[in-house]
Amino acid sequence: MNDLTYIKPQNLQEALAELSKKNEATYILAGGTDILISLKEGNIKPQYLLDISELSEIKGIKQEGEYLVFGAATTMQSIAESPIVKEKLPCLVSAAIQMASPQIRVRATIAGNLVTGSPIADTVPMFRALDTVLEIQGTGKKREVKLDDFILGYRKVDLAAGEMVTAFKVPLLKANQKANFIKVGRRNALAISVLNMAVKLTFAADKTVESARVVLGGVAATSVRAKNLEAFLTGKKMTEEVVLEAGNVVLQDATPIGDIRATAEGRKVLLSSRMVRLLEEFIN
Amino acid sequence: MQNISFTLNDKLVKVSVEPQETLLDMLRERLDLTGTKKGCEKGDCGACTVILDGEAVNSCLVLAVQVDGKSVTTIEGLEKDGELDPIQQAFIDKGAVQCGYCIPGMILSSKALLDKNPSPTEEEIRTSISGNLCRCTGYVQIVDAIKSLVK
Ligand SMILES: Cc1cc2nc3c(=O)[nH]c(=O)nc-3n(C[C@H](O)[C@H](O)[C@H](O)COP(=O)(O)OP(=O)(O)OC[C@H]3O[C@@H](n4cnc5c(N)ncnc54)[C@H](O)[C@@H]3O)c2cc1C
Ligand code: FES
Ligand code: FES
Repeated sequence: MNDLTYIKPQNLQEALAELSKKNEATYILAGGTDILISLKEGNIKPQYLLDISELSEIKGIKQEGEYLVFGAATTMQSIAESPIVKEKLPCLVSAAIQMASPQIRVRATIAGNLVTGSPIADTVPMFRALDTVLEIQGTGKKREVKLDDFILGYRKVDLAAGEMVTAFKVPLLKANQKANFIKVGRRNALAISVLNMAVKLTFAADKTVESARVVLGGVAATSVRAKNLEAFLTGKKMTEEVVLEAGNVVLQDATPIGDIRATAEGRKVLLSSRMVRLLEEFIN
Repeated sequence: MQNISFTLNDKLVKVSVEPQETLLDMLRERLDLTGTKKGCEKGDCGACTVILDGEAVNSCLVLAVQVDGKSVTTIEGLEKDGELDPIQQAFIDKGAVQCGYCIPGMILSSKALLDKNPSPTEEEIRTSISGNLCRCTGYVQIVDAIKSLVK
């Protein structure tokens, strides 16, 4: 038996202080739905578990100017139930509600989903497509980083020792913007996605696409921006032909791999066809 | 070891637990409440479902220390004065129980739903038990049992 110590700080200040005092064997515990499995399987050997799941400073959702700000320890369930998210960013409700099972959603947090760094984390593509900015804190310091830049590689993120993610700042959609998410899983409940994808389009007055953000999950070691597809869509009107062609273009952005959940060829077909389905909602 | 106290099936209990011990292991091994079933131990099957502060959770994915100061309901807590809870009775009446392994979890998931929302739709019922796997029944009778309680 290793000597693990469980610490439950009373507020964010205390949590950050603990995080800076301790060493590399200090792990943040949020919903525990990833980390407790790693702990049981012996993949990690923490000395300290710092439970941040009930810190009120980093829970909950509020509007601040042009942003909807999500505390990092906000759960999938609270997103799914939030009237303000339903009204302003229903695409995030759609991502949160398709994750796992009710028992998991009530514990699982958005920061846990992100920091775990799984290439198929369900909320990451949507937050990325929405151009989310993360707020990160260490003792006495606070910084902001774009979610796009935070993800460095397979299970690697831009967090220094002593730092934690404290908030997700999501720009509200403007009248000329639209966003949506789609998940392709083998089973609805509990399926870790085979693929997931998120899109945000900004339209010019003449209904051509002014800018596009498209993020794919499950096709590479991390979620990726579909840069070719974004360039293809920019300047075009969203017609049936454009959407069909987009299903081909997206294959330039991804080299899906085969694994136990799907073959590489199967993933390609899925990627094309689901991208078409996702973009069909943007035809105007 | 760490000392915790929490409300278990409406009674205050005090327990000493290891920091890495799960709520599931504490219930089954320290408190002898074996109605909470141990299946996959990784959040997949829902056999270990209990109600924690009003929400259905997988007790295999909660640490025992985390329930300090909270309220936990297990299947043993449903029967009152020798009378089965209406949900338990409905599962029997509708023939929703075969081997029974998944049933405590199923009942607690549906109880968490009905406590919050006494008039759920069929879709809400199906969602509420979507994290509970049953190898025997095909879910039809289970959904019927829960539906029979809708107000
Ligand atoms: C049965 C099952 C089904 C699942 N299905 C899905 C699914 O469909 N889709 C999906 O995307 N995921 C799924 N998951 C994975 C998991 O539930 C999610 O990734 C979840 O969001 C993790 O959040 P958590 O709060 O539980 O993280 P934890 O396990 O508490 O933490 C995960 C990691 O993040 C770190 N961390 C947490 N919060 C912070 C913070 N604020 N700052 C810095 N680091 C932090 C922790 O130290 C740890 O390394 C599933 C898991 C299980 C067990
Ligand atoms: S034993 Fe907990 S979900 Fe299977
Ligand atoms: S009754 Fe046997 S697993 Fe459900």
